[in-house]
Amino acid sequence: MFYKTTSALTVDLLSLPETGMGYQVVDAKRKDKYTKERFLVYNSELIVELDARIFESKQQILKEGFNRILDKANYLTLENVAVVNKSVIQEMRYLSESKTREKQRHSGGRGATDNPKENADGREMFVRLSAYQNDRRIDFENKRLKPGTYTTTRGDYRVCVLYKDDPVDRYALPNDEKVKWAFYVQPKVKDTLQRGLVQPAFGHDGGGIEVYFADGTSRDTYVVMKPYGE
Amino acid sequence: MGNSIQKKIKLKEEHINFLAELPESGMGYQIVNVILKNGQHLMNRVVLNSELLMLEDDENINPDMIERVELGEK
Repeated sequence: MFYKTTSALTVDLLSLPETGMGYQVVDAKRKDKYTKERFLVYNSELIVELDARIFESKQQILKEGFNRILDKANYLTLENVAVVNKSVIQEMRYLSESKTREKQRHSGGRGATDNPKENADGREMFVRLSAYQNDRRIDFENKRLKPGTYTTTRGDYRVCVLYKDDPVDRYALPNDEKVKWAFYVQPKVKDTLQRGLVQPAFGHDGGGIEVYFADGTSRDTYVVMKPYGE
Repeated sequence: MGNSIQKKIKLKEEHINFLAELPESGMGYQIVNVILKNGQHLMNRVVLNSELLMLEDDENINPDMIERVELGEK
């Protein structure tokens, strides 16, 4: 569905950074709704609902033309508009290459090491799951991840816990030992990472999100260890 | 999440320290080749947490039999 921005909203959007050349991805609340939704806004004036039909919507714009779509679109009033963080966008891109299955797992897509590196945003938290309290990929002395370490996003970990999903299957782990620990890491802006989808392995489906830190993380980025699920 | 029944042995400290500095193949594990002192090669085996080598049920290997470990193919 396409909408036109009100003039006030256009002014607001022009004061916010672009997500890419000519567009912004924003979270905002419709005037009569209580929860936020995600929208793609072209040129701070054409709003497109960012849902499963986004590909068809883009095709329609290409086919009919931007101005024609804009002319016939109705106005939409949005409130509490915030541009979506770029790291979230990056994750959406990878996920858009896959199909969503039960318990918000995904199939298809690519593993983390097949995707390009990106810089952390300094705020996002990642979680490393382990059966072992003495996880050897954590450099406890310098409070950092060692180079070549896999994690998942905090969001995917939360989904795994929320849906009572099996982490051994979701992250395609080779052993069936119970995952007992969650190590939280908050990389700095200079740290690089690669995101992807856990591919099937060891008789497990995978489908969770994996994040690989080829160079590890900076000092003082390891935050805390908690029992799994807490 | 079941309890593991798979056979594992703990590697010697020198091999653990070596693997702990090498990249993982997935969250919590590395795929390695194990070279035994008798010249036998165990290819593409799983090591958990850089320290626990998973073995087949019929394998009887102790850590002293291992000459070296190296990263295998994922």
